[in-house]
Amino acid sequence: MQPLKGVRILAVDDEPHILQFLELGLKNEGYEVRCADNGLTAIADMEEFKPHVVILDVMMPGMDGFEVVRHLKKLDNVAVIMLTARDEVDDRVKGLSIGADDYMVKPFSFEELLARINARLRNQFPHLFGEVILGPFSIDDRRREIKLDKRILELSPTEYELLKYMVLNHGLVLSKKLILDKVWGYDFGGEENIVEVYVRSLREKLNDKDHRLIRTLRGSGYRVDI
Amino acid sequence: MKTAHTDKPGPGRLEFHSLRFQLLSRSLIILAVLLGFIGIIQYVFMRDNTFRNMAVSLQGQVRNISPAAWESLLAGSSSGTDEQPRPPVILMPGTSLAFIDEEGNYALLISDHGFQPPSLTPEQKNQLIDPRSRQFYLLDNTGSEEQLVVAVPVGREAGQTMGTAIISTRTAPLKELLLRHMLVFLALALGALFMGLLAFLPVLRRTLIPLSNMVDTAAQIDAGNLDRRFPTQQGQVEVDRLAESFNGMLHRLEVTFSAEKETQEQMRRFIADASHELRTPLTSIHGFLEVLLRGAANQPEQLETALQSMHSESLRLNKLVEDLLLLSKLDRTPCAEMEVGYLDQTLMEMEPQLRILAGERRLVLTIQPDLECRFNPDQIKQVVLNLFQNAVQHTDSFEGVIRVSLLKAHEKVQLVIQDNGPGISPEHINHIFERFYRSENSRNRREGGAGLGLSITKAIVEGHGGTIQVSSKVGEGTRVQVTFPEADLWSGQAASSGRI
Repeated sequence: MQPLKGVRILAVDDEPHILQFLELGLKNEGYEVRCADNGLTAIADMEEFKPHVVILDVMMPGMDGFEVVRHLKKLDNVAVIMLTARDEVDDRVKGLSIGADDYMVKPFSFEELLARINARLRNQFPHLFGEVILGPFSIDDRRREIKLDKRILELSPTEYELLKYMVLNHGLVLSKKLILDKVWGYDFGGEENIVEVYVRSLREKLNDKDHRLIRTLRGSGYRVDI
Repeated sequence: MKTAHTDKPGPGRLEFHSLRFQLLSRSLIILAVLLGFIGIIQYVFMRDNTFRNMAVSLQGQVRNISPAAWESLLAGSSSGTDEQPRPPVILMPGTSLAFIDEEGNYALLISDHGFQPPSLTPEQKNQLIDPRSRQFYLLDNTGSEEQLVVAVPVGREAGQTMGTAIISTRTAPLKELLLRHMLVFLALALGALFMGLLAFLPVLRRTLIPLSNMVDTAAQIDAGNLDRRFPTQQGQVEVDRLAESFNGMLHRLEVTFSAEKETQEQMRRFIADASHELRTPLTSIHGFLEVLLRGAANQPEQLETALQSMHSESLRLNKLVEDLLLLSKLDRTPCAEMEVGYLDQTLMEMEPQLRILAGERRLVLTIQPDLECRFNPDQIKQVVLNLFQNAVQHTDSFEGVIRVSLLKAHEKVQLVIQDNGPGISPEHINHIFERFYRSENSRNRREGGAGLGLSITKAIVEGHGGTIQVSSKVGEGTRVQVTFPEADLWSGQAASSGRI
C-alpha cells in the first residue's frame, strides 16, 4: 500500500500501552498520529487536529466511546473505528447505529486495523488516493490540482480548499457559516463576507458567469450542481 | 374422554366433567331422591289413614243399626227365602254385611255388588273386636277383590251379646283415590325438578364466576409475568383462600426467579469484565509484536519501548490470572487451612513492609498484644496488604495519614484501616466489593489492579468467619473494619459461601 501523506489519525483509549503501540505502529506506516486518553481530550483534539480517522475505545472512564462518537459525528465527517474488549452483539449494533463506521474486537490484528483504516479512507476521503472525477471536475489532492473540463485551474491555496470542499459536497446546500468553519477553521474569527469574496473570484476562474456551477440560494448559502 | 379434556368448555355449554354439570346433576339427584322419599312416606301414611277412616266410618254405620233392625235382619236371613226383603238398614254403597252368632254360624245379611265378607276365625274376630288391639280392620284378598273388613260386636244391651257383625268394603275405589293423589304429587315433583334445573343453571354460573376469574388470571401468568396476582376479595371464602395460597406461591416463585436472574446477571457481568480485563493486555502485547514485525524491531529505541510495555502488560496479565485463580479457589473452598495463633504478631511482622509501602505518608500503628485467633497467616497478610495498598493509593503522597489498629472489642478481634483520602461516594460504596468494580477515580490502571483486590479480601475474611465493613465520608476519608471471631468462640465452621 502506498503510504498516504497527510492522513491524520486520532487514537483514543484509556490504556496507555494500547495508545503507545498504536502511535508507534501508525507513525511507522506514515500516518500523522495523535493520542488522547479520554473522551473530552478527544473532542478537543478533533477541532484542532482535524483527523480523517478516529480509533476509539468503547470502555473509558468518564465519557464512554458511544458518547464520544455521538459528539464527533456532529462535528465533522470523520471515519470512526471503534475498539472494544466486549465481544457482544449489542455493543456492536449500538456502536454502528450511533454512527461508528467500523468495529473491532480486542485483541485485534494490527494489520487488519491498517486495512480497515484504508478501507474507510477510500470510502470517505477518495481524493486522498488520486484523481476524483465528479462531473466536469477532477480533483487530485496529491498534486493539489483541480481540473475543469481537463483544464487545470489556477487557484490560491484557500481557493483550492474552498472549491474542493464545495465540489466534494456537491448537491448539498452549504451555508456561509459552515463553509467558513470547514475551510477557514473554527478559530478563524473573520466575517462571513470573505466567503462571498472567494466565491466571486472562483466563479470568475470557472468562467461561471450565469452561476450555473455554483448556485446562490438566497438566505441559505451555496450549492454546487454537477 | 380425551376430547372432553382437549375441548375448552364454552361458557354456555355443560360438559360432562365440568363442575357446573356435576353440581347441577348431583343436587338434582338429591332433590329427586328426597321427593321420592316424601312420596313414599306420604303414600304409606295416606293409605293407612284412608283405610282407618273408612274402617271407623264402617264401624259407625254398624253401631248405628238398632237392635230391632238386627232382629229383623237376622230373621230375614234365617227364613232362607230367596226373595230378599229390603233391608231396614242403610249402608254405604259397595259394602256388604255378614253376621256370626255365638255358635259361629255365618250369615250373609247384605251383599252389595255381589261379594261377601270373609268368615273370620275366632282369633281374627277377637283381635278386631278387642279395643286394646290396635288393629281394628283387616285386609282380605282371599276373594276376587281385596276387601277392607271390620268386625263389630252386636248386643241387645250392654253385656249381652248376640254375635258379631262383619262388614267389608272394596278397597279398589280407595286405592284409586290414593293413586290419583300420588300422580298429582309425581307431577308436582317433576315440575319442581324442572324448575330447579332452570333456576340452578344461572345461579351456578354466577356462583362460579370467581373460579373462572382465577382460571383467566392463571392463564396470564407465565415465567416472564410473575407479578400478576389472583383476586382475593371475591366474596367466596374457599376461592379467596385458594387465591391467597396461590399468591403466596407466586410471590415465592417470583423471589426465587429474580434471585436466579440476579445471580445470572452477576455471572454474565463477571465473565464480560474478566474477558475485558484479559483482552486489554493481550491487545497491547499482540499489537506491539505486530508493530515490531512490521519493521519497528530494527529501530533500537522503538524495540526498547515495545519490550518494556510488553513486559509490564505480561506482568499485569499474570497478576490478573493469579487473582482470578485465587478467587475461584476461595469460592470452592472458603475454609483455608487455619491454625490458632497470635494475630498481633503477624501484623508486627508486616510493619516494615507497610512502612515501605506508605513512603512519606504517616503510618499510625496500634496493636493490642495477645490477640489469639484462628487464621491462615498468608491470607491475613494479603488482606492487610490489599486494604493498606488501597489506602496508600487513595491518599496524598505527603499529606496522607493511615491508621492501622488491631484491637479486641466485644469479644471479637477488630482490624481497622483508616485513611484521610478523598473518600468513596455513596453510590459507589455498595459496589466496591463487586468483582472488577472500580469507581471512576480509581480506574487508573497504573495504580490499581483489575478491581479484584477487595473481592479477594472479602472472600478471605468471610472464609475466616469474619465480616468486613466500609464507611466513608467524601473529603474526609475511608474506614475499613474487619472483624474476626476470637479463637475460643470460633466454631470451626466458616460462613457458607454463596458468592460469585
